[in-house]
Amino acid sequence: MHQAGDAAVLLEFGHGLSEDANNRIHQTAEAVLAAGVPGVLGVVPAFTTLLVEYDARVVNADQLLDQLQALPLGRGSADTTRTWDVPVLYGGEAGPDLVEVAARLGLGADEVVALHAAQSYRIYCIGFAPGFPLAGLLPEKLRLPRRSIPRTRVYPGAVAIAGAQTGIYPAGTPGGWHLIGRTPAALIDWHEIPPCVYRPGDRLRFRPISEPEYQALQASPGPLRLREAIG
Amino acid sequence: MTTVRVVRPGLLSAVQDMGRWGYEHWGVMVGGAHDEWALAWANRLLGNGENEAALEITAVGPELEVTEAGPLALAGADLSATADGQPWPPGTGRRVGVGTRIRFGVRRRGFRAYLAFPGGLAVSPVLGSRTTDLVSGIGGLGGRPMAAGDLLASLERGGTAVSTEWPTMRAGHVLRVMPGVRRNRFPALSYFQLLTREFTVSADSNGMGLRLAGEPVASPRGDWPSEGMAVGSIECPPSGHLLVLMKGRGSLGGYPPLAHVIRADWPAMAQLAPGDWVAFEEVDTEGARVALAEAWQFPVGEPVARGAVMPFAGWLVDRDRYGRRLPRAGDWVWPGQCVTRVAATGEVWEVLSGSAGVLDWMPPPAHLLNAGDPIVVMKGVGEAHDGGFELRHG
Repeated sequence: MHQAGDAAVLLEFGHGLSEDANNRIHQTAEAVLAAGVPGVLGVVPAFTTLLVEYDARVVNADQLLDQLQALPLGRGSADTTRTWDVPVLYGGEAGPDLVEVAARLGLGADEVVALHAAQSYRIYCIGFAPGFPLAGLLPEKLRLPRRSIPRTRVYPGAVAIAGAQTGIYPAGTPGGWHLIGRTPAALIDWHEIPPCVYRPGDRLRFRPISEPEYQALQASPGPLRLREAIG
Repeated sequence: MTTVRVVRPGLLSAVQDMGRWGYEHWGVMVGGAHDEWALAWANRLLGNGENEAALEITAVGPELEVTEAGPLALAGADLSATADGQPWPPGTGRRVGVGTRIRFGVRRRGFRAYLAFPGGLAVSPVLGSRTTDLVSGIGGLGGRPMAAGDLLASLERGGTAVSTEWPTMRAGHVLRVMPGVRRNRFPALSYFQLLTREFTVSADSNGMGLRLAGEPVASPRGDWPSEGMAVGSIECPPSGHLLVLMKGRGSLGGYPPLAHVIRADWPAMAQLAPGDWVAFEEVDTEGARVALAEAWQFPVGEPVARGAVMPFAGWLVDRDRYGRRLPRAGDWVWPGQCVTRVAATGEVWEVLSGSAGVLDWMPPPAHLLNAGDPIVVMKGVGEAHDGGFELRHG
């Protein structure tokens, strides 16, 4: 455990990135929230760490750690993972960086699409922006450092890659990832709790669709929600 | 219900309570009032709970017209507020009548003011908070800044507004820090640079964080997975230009934190404006605990005037031992903070404040002074050690 100032502690789980350690992070996060530990304000589960924010007027770091260690672990996501089908229109206006990404990787644009859609990706955590899934890991052939100059605004639904990660921008936020496609699905519904359907531990499977299919999905009445992948 | 109509919105005003805590694991940012102490003050002047939603007014205030009479209270930064031309200093509550024009002018001190309404502002909570989240477009006035034509109404009617003689913000330049959770990723020099240099708040700072201009700090080399960043974290990107994260930050970050501004000093952090100088001083866990207990007080009664005099003939030095500026009249100081230094032949002493409070008066620097001449007058809070000030060699 590390003290991150007097308002948070950072818990580290294992060395390096593993699905097992990441599961334990989310189970612990869930347990902390479920237990309603006095003074705890929030949790930020990430790839290899869990930040627990607290109000030092109520509890101190040592007391907090004692309480956290006594918690039974939550079930977490380990036994309830789902795979979500994400329809994506790749390239063109929907994925303005696809051509450049392909050139830098020494691949054809169609190869990038095929590789990206060939496997499913585990959601390691949700963050940066509401409902932004940080998923991975990308095959080695698709890994590029993030853009040197981030965009000030990315369109909602942008499907993006950076390093070993892939994700989807739910809203018009700034962003430094490479935009290779766009999904017509709405990821966030503020009337629902939680506002996004997927959870850490779930998987995303990207499915290439054509321009007419994209238009048709977008024209469907009401916001388009993600569905679970079949098979 | 006290109600106002927005005539002109000013730079950036938004409805804020203490923040949307508890949903960061969904990526929802905390946000909320940047200066929690000033918000609490504004609410207290109306007898509200500290967490009620108020209008956070940043740097350039709006023009408002009262459409339904009632009490209001103002706290935090001094943005030259007036009600029908009458000065309305922060720390005062008043009853405003229909047609009253509330205007803001020149920014005199601080950066964010809070206008509180009886029972708080009547907007619908989202995920348990009335905070405006401009990134997600939720909370407050439909997730957007206040605009001309908006009506802001209180949740409750009436009540009385009171005033205070005390400052309702802690505008200081020296922020206390604890070592960063990822300090071991930095060269040893970086932390020393942080604690000995003076920085300037850059113009591209925003509610997400303060960007600090100045000579770059030795930055770490490497690439680490993103992780949760505590509010107050001082992140160091490869450029070496530090970023102090405020409550409007995203929950995940990729740059390792070199240090963390302690919670007691988040209110001071929120009142720094572009161009202001800022310096950092280390405290340990116990120091942070004592500081927070001290900082979350709302003094009552008349401020106590405290002063110090020259212990010997000599002069004042207006820089600290690292050549950084020292507080000036009008600044808030915390207990133990160096307010000035006194020098005689070959000897330099720091004058440390024995209590929290506001510096009221200091003589111009570099004047020769006799033993017994006044060197500082402050409005102190509560009990003070050693008659209010303490001398320390250095």
